[in-house]
Amino acid sequence: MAKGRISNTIRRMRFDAGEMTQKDLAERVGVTRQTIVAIEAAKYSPTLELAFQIAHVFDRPLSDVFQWEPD
Amino acid sequence: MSWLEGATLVQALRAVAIYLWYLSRQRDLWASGALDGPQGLTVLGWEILLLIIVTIVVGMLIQLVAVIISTATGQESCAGIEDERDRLIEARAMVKGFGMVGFGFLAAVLALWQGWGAIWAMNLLLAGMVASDILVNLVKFLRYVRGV
Repeated sequence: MAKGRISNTIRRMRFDAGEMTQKDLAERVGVTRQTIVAIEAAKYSPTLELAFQIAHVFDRPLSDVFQWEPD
Repeated sequence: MSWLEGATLVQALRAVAIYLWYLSRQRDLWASGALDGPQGLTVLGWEILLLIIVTIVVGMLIQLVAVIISTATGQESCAGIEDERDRLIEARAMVKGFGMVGFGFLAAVLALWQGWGAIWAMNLLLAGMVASDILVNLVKFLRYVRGV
């Protein structure tokens, strides 16, 4: 399997969405704040379902929020 | 350090402390001869039962203290909250833990094969389980800190 890295623009999306807090986002998608922190820091790659939920919160397509960068 | 990172570290320290307490009791029992002869297994059975009871009670006390601290300080607590990342970290840590239990079991079987007593075999089995518990919590801690 080709290796790569998943980056994201959640921090900017939160800022654009009226400076939404990590806690608010976590509550809206049903995870802990620590998970949002880990996703933003690219320390955790969310499941497809959670990724779609996050994109849905910002009303943006998945590819605007998450990007895959091959090594 | 987040709440979860701290919690996993405390659980690992709890296991180390309780096992050291158990080992000190074992040493005293060996010295007094209480583990000699057939009745030694009965004594060992009670000691392991005591270890389990103490582990449960200390675990509950830690949980209680954690809730009191988080309530008093208004700190964010994750007690009882679990999501997909927690489950993934738990599952990956458990895999390592099962390996350690298997290692303890193998050590116990080899000890029996070498003619060691049943008490030694039981203690090796128990050591594998305790090491597994410690390893699971340390792996979880590292996963939380470094990422999944």
